Amino acid sequence: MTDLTVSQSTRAATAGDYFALMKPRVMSLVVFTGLAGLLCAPAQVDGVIGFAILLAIAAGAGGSGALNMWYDSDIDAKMKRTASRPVAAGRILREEALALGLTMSVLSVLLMLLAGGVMAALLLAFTIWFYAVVYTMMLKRSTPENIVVGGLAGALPPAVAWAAVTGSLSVAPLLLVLIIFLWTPPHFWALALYQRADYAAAGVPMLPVTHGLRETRRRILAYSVLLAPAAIAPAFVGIGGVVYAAISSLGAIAFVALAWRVWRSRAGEEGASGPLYSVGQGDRTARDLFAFSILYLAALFAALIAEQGLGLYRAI
Amino acid sequence: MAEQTEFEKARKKRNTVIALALVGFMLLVFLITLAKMGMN
Repeated sequence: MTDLTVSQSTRAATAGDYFALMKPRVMSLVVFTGLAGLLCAPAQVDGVIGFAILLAIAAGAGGSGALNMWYDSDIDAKMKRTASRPVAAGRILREEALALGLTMSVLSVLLMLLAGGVMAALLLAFTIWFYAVVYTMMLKRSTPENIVVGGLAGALPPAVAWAAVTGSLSVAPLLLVLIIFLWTPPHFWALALYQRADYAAAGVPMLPVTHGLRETRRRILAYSVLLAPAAIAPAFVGIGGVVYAAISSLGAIAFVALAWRVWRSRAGEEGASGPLYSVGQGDRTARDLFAFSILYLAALFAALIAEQGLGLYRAI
Repeated sequence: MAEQTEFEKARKKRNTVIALALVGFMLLVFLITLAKMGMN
């Protein structure tokens, strides 16, 4: 019986399922932000070493993503947004996800130890532990502050890359961490406003479920206002130049304006229905902020990469 | 029977990918070592 179950579950798994197990979108985000940390660090890095550092960050993210899907397969199966994930859908066994997650996590830290040194390896190990244990196992199901605190794990890759290149940390990489840390709550709460039924069905205590829509809209605005100066700050510590200053400033104004619009709206009050990511008329302000938040973070780090990697940097 | 063959095919493919990944990892460790030696 067990063998038959194994056969049926494993048979349907494709290479794409194993790839999806590693959360490729999260992986691409951390590689992107890690690359910015790598290029902004005040030291030259060999091409092979740089590649290995980014690969270790990607593998660490992939490993912790697999551990997340292993642990959360029960609630993933209850939400429209995550029901098709390979473990939740039964295409990959939980044990397999656990084994892959642990193996990739250990290998990523070893690779980082070799390529980036002790401090970067410890930081990467902390990041993986924070995401898989603190966020996934301890916070996600127990507090509406889950994504606020848990956001630290997604924010650390630029500091990991910086530490791998320089062997130390300073204000500049910590500012990059702060940007992602403050960006995470308005990004996820904007989504949660119009997908709250999904979270409620799975018993995940997201802010709109526990504290209501008005409080969520208020906190989205508060975090957006806090994000604005943090996002502009790299232009004043020598890692962001004129291009970065322009993009971060204009983007911050737009971000706060969109968050203000969410606060003034009745976003989330219609209740989600219909297909995944369907957005009611009243929820469009939240959807707009969610979409713009992705664009804004990408633009900030793309500006840093362009300035530091392509030699476009001009101090303000 | 057909299911069993398909299962074995999938397992063989997975094992090949794991083997290639391990070889790639070893190669990368070797290249990192060379790069570090060059830096020193």
